[in-house]
Amino acid sequence: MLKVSDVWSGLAVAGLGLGIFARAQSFVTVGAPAVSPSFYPGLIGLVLTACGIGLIVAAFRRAEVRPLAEMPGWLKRPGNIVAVLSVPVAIVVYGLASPDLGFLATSLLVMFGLLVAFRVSLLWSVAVAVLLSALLYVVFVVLMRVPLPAGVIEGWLR
Amino acid sequence: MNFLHAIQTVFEPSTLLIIVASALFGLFVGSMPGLTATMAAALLVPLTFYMDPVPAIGAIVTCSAMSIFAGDIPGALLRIPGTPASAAYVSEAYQLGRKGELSKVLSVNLIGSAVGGLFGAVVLIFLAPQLARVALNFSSYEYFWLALIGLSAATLVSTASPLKGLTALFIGLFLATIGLDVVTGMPRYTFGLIDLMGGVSLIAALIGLFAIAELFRKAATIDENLPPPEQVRGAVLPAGLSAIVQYRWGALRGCTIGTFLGILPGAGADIAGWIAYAVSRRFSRTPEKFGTGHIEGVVDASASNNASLGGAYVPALVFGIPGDSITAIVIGVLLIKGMNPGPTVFTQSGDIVSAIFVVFILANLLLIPLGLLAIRLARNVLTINQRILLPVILMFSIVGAFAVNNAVFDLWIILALGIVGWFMEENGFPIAPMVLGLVLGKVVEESFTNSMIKAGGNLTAFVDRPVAGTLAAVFFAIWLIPPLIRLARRVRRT
Repeated sequence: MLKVSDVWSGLAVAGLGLGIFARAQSFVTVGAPAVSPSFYPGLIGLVLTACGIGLIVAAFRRAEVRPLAEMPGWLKRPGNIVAVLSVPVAIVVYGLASPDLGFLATSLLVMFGLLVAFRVSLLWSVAVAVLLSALLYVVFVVLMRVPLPAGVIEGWLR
Repeated sequence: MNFLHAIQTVFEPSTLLIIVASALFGLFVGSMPGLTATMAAALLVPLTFYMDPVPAIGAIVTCSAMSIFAGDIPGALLRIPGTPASAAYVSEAYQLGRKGELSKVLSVNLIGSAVGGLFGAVVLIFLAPQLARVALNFSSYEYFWLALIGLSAATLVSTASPLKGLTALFIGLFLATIGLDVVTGMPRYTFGLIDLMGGVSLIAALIGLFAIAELFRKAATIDENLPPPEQVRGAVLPAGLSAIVQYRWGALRGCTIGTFLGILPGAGADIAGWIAYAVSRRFSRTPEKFGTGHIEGVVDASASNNASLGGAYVPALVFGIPGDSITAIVIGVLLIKGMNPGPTVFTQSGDIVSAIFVVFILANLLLIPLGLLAIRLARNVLTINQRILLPVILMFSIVGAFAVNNAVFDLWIILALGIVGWFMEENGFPIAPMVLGLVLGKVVEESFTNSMIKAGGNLTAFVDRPVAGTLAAVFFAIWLIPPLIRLARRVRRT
């Protein structure tokens, strides 16, 4: 992950705090101000803003010589970039595909893709994807009776 | 509390099977460099969702005790701590291994962990019910201050930068405000999304912050291969017994430090290991030997980090305030199971609490045979292909997060918080205060709002009761004394 100077982190935190505070002001006030829905999150917003300013001030006080952001080492290696990106891609693909394809088909697809992205041989990728999907199906669906999304393969199994 | 009934519950075949399986899982995760005990507990949560309370909590207790010990194994074999709790003495342990004393150091790790774990468990068993009796008289005022003290200690103790700890804590508190307001029922920060009306799913948040963030980190360093580990030879257990006997007072000191730090919110096994090692060196007759492959500090620290686990359950069970990030997960599990951690849990769910005590003892006794097995198999575990292991853990995390609510939305939460957690850790923001904030956020707001309504807006009511006043003084002392000391030192210097 990108390593950034505390100046940037501080700006982001202060921005988040101000956003939380501003949004809290739009909540309807009921009863005394201290028990209204806006009081507590408003306070959190103010403290976060103060923390953000504190981080910026502390960074300037230390007179940081490091750049505002440092390029992480993994971005220089294509294999690592693919491995890192495969994590969010796997989550998104599972989230979007599983309601229609069902658990087993999506799991096979995602696991195979992940293993290939992590540079595992095709044969091993197929074997591990099949074994893990079957194991997860047995644990979650058969043993714990979790209603994971059903699809074509689950239809064949019934 | 009926201990006989608790023993019967724990020794039911299905519960025992779950405990042994989670022990093996904990040993495996702990042995893998970079995978933490908290991650092991977070990965177990989706499974515990479908279990009864006793096996559910038993699984987490056993898994965390095993993984804290197992973290010592790659430390001695490869100089890489399996979990951060072993980091303090990893260099010492490795050098002992290089001197041909691998069996001795692993034996000390194992026996020290079991002794420490049992010590922490005994303190938990005797201290928690006594404290709970006192806490039964607490009102919302006392809970408000207790929650603030817990959050403050977590912020100040767990990180090198209190400001970054405070930031992480308030981000966690903010996440806890998302959803319907407890008093008015008004949606806050939901941006019209129905999935957010019930708040941020705690399990998804835990999986995101502890598992997905860790997977991002590991994926970024996937090319870094581990060196081939040594094979442990000969009888392991007797090799360290003499060292434990020789440094028995050090082990006892480590147990005491670990248990105390465990009770302190925010300071878990990681910090316990460091402090016990430092104290051991400070009071050693041969401090010059530390850092050259000397067993003394390893005895203290091995006992200390496991002792902290039992200690952390004291504030978690008695006040509902987690002692470390693992007990933050346990509180989440208890809430999901319909139990309300706090003094009433001892009266309303006394059998379950007794069963938790029994599990603590059992887990630390199981540590010896299963730990020996883990030491024997260490070489095989450490050569498992990370390129296969990481996708397997990711798939398990995805399915686990999805399975709890059968909600695709929870996957977006694990992804978002995984990225946030990765960014924060890389930039020096600790995750533990954020999780404590997420868990305690509602307690703070509800106790504050209830107190304000009861007091009719009169703020002096918060300090009127003797215990509430004392707790308020402790809270302000935590925040004011360190800067005052710093100021006094600066004035003295100038």
